[in-house]
Amino acid sequence: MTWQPEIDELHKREQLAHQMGGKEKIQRQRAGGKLTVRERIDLLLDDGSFHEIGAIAGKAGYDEQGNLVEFTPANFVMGRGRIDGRNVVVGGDDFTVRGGAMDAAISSKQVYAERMANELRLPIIRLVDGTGGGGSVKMLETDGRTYVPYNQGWDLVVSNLASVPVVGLGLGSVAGLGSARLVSTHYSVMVRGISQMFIAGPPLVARTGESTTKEELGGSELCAQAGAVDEVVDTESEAFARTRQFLSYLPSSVFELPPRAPATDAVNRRDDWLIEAIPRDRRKVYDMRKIVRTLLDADSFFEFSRQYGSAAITGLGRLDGWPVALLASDPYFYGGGWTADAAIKVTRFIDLANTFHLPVVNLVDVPGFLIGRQAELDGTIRHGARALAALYQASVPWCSVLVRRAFGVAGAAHANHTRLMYRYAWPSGDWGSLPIEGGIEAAYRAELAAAPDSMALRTQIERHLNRFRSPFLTAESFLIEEIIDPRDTRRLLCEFANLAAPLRTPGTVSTSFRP
Amino acid sequence: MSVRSIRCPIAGTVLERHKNPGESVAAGEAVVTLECMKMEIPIQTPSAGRLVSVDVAEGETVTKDQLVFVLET
Repeated sequence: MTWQPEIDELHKREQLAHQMGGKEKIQRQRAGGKLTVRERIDLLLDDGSFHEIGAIAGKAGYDEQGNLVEFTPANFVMGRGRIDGRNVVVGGDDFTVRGGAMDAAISSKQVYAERMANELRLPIIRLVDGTGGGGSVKMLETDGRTYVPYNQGWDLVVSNLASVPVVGLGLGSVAGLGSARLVSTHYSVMVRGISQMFIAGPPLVARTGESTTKEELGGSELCAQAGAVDEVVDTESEAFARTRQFLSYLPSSVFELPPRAPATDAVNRRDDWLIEAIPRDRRKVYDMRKIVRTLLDADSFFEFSRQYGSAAITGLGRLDGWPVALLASDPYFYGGGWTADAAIKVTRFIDLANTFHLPVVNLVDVPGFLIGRQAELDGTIRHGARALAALYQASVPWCSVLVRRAFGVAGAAHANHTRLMYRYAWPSGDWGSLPIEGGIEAAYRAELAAAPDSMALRTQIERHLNRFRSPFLTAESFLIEEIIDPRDTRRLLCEFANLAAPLRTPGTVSTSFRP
Repeated sequence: MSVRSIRCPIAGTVLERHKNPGESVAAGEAVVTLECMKMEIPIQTPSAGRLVSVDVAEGETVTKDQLVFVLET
C-alpha cells in the first residue's frame, strides 16, 4: 500500500483551492477590471517561481461518510517566489472569497507571511484587495460575541519596516486594516480606477452624514496627493513592473548591501547643456528632472511620491551601476521651498536611504521653508525640524551639489555640517541666511525709514550687497569646498558612488523606519 | 474631445497672463506666470488644445488648487 490516495486527495484539495471563490465571483472580479490573486502573483513573480504555502487552508464541508464535499479556501494566498532571480515573499488577498474580509480568513496565514519575510530576511510584497483581513460585523453572529480589537501580526509588520523591503499594492477597494497594511510599507502603489483606499468606505461614512462615492472618498489620485500612497499607475501590470524595479535598487534585507547593476553608461559622459541648465536670471525656473536624468546612469531614475510634497523630488537611481538615493528640489513648486508635506516626504526618504544603506545624492535648490500664514498653520517648522533630525541621525554616505539656492534653516539642511562636507557647488550657487531681496527691509529698517527716498536707498543697498553674493568670495574663505563645472558633475558623482560603496555597512540602524 | 480643468499646484500671485479664452495652445505653453518665493513660475498646458477659459487675473492672489484655466483637447 502506498500513500497515493492521500496524495490524490492533496491534489484534489489544491485544485479546489485554485477555484478561489468560484466561477461567479471570479467573473465579478474580472468584470470589475481586476485580476484574480493567483493571476497577480504569477504576473509579479518570475515565471513558475511561486512556491505556495498553506494552499489547502480553508473551510471544508464533509458528508456523513467523512468525504470532502465542499471547500472554500482562506482568502489570503501566500508563499515565496523570485523577482529577477532574487527570493521574495508575496501575500495577496483573495477578494473573490468574502471580499477579503476576516470571517473567511485564517489570519495566521498573514502572520506567517510576515514572519517568513522577517526571519528569512526577504522582501515582502502585499497585494491588498478588500479589508485585508479586517473585521466584519457578520462575525458577531458566527462568534456569538465581540472582541477587543488588536492588530494581529503588527509586531512583525513594524519590525519588517526596519529589516526588509516592504511593498504594498492597492488592487481594489481597500479599507481599515487593509489600508493600514497597504501604507505600512516602504513603497506603495494604487491602480487608477480599480483601487480606492479609506479608513471606512462610503456606507459607513454616509452614517456620519457625508455622502460620497468610493472614488470621491478614496480615489487613487486623492491618496497620492495626500501622501498616503507613493504612486498611481494605470494597470496592474504596471504596478508589478514598478515593484520589480523598486526592489532592484534595494538589498534583500538590511543585513545585505544594495546590489550593483552592470555599469552601462560612461562615467565621463559630459552633457554640454548643463553649463546653461540654470538660468542666469534668478527668477526663472528650470527642469530639475532633466538634470537628474542626465547625471544618473541612463534610464535609471525611479521617482516616487511625485504628487506629494512636490517641492522635493525623491527617487532611486544608479551611478556607475551603484544604487543611490536621489534627493532634489523642484523649483516649479514654491521655488523648491520646503512645505510641511515636502519636509515629511524628505524625512521618510532619508530614513529609507539610511535603512537600506543607499548613499544619498542631494541636488540642492532650496530658498528656505515656505513662509506665510498657511505655512505656519501647516506646522511647517515642526515637520521641517523632523527632517533635520532625520538628516543628523543618518549615517549613510552623503554628497550634496548646490545647483542654486541654499537659504535659511531648510537650505542648511542640505547636509549634516558636522560630517565631512562631501559637497560641490555650481557657479550658479546662491546662499545665505536669507535672500538679499527679502532681508533688506528687516536689516536696514531704521536707515530706510530715515531716508528721503527710501526706494533709491533700497536699490543702492541691494546693489552694494549683491557684490558679496559671488560664490567665489565664499570659496575664498573655504566656506564652500569646491565650485565645479556643471558638466563634470556626473563624473564626480560616479566617483562619490564608488568611494561610498565600501563604506556602506550592513545591519539595522538605530532610527527604525516608520510608515 | 475632452475638457480638462487645470488647477494651481501652488499658492502665489499672478504676475502675467499670457493667453486668452479661445486661443489655441501647444503642449507645455505657459498660460499664466505666477510669482512665488521670488520666482516666476509658469502654469503650463498639459497638452495642446483650445482654451475654454482663463480663470485668474493679473495681480490676483491665488491659492493652491484654485482653477487657473480650462483646456479643450
